[in-house]
Amino acid sequence: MYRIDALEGGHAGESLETAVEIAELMNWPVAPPHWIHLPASLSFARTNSQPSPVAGWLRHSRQINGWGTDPNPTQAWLAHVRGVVGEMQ
Amino acid sequence: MTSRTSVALTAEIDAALRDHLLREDGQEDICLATYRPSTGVTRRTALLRAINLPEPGERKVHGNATITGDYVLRIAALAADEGDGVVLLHSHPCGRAWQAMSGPDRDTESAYANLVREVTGFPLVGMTLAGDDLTWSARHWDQGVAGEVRATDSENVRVVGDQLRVSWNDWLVPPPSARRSNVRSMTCWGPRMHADLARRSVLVVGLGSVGLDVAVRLAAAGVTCLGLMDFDTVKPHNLDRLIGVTPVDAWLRRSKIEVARRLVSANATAAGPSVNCWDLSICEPAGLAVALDYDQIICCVDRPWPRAVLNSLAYRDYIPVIDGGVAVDVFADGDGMRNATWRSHVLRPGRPCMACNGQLDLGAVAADMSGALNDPTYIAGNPHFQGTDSANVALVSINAAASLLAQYISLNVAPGGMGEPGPLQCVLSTHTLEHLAATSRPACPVEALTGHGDSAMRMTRPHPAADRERRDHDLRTLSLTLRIARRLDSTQRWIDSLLTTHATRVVDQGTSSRRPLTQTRTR
Repeated sequence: MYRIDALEGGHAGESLETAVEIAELMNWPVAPPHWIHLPASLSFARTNSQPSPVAGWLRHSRQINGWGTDPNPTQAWLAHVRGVVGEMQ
Repeated sequence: MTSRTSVALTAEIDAALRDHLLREDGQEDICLATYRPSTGVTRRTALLRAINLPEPGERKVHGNATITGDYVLRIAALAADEGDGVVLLHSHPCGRAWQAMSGPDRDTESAYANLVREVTGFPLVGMTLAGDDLTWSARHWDQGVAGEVRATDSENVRVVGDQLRVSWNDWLVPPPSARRSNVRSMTCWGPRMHADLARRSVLVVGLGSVGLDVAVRLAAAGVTCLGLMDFDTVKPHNLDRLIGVTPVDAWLRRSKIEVARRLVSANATAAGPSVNCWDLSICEPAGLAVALDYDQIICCVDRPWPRAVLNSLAYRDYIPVIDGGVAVDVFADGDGMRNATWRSHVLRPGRPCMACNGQLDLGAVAADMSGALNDPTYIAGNPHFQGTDSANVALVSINAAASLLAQYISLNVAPGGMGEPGPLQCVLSTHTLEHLAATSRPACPVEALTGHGDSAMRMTRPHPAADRERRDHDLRTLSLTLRIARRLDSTQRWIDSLLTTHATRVVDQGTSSRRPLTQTRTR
């Protein structure tokens, strides 16, 4: 679990808690995680979500495009999550 | 138990070693390199990673060549820091074919074998380059200790570039016998090439419309060691593309590898071909371990996860992967065909990986691993993966198979000296063949693993979908009716196979020669 600053969207300016599954990190950095875990209270206009292992959270399906083009995979992942968080209402 | 050993290197490393070891003055030379192991089920391969040339005073050339203990110790310490092993290489400038070790060769390598293993934890690998025909030979000093240290001879050395060049240890892997049923294939590239080609083991991963056709044709061409891997069961919707597969196979819930074994064995022309079937996914640890035993792999799967595993393996383990596929583009209303394309390319160090050439989305791998792509509700809600069960037809898939086999010929035979051509795309509507100008991305995380072997991530884990499929075609899960029907069908197939064996013996009685195709052993 980690926190990220929302730069856009309905929660712009807030620090939000998010998470990735450890099982999805086993292939890092060749293949990035797929699911972004967020508290269920945070909602999107349109999403494909499933229950998260974290109680009261949902995991949202968000595929990152063009993986492998950025020399710094961690920054690429955080930029992806910021983009997703920016979609929230 | 890994009883077989091998060595693999890139064409780039091979060229650099030749530059050093083959001297203009015709004397022998010597140097050290580092390697990482790549371990399969039955074969251990040393993957050469870096050449460490001697510094002044560390080697003497005097007709023969010798090195100092300090040089060996320096490189062993360097290798240990990197998690590598050490390779001791020397040349026989006038040698031809696989080289046996002379007394001085054996003394030199055995003298350093214990030291290197103590420092690095890996056995010393010895290699000899025959200067006359550029054949490599190799051995792993992996038996015994102290004064009893002994080498296991490798069965081959593979140089991976736009051509796959294989040096064979004829003692361990003899050339196949010439057979009348191979004459037309042999005529294409000559008996020497055929003896080499037939021994190169090939694993076909995915036995759908493309993979099954590829496997049958490789067997017909005389390949002696063929592996078939798929965990799927024959289903009614496969019947319009799996040529040779019958409604009886679908009714009896035969596995695809069972049917493929039948078709491949019936079409094999080599004497005593080895056709090994693996009811596994390449994504399972056991499936990947099997794959590391092969000299080359043909990838005929379409899911992101298995493609990612094979994509990594091509770079990490120096096993070229010939990949390709078909895309049929239909009109949105489902009433008409707009176009079809088929692609093929060889994945290997020096060529862009499957992600760099646009044929694999690494961002989709985690979703596939999680099982989401087998979940209809997930698929329905995700535009990325809709249409996974894409259109395909036997009339198109044969072109993808042909394109893969053409890449196989270019990689292995190199007609006119031309190796594999890079990524190709054929467009059906315009009948255009395009050479795709794909390049490797500077930050490609897959190509960064080149030559890492066992030390790199595997991307494998248990595969619930494969478990389900295996249960589905397991004889014990069938109804009594299906079990009886399967027994009857198997009996009929057994009689057919007896007839085939007899007929093969009869038609090959007129074989022009029972001698091996080529067998050249020199010191």
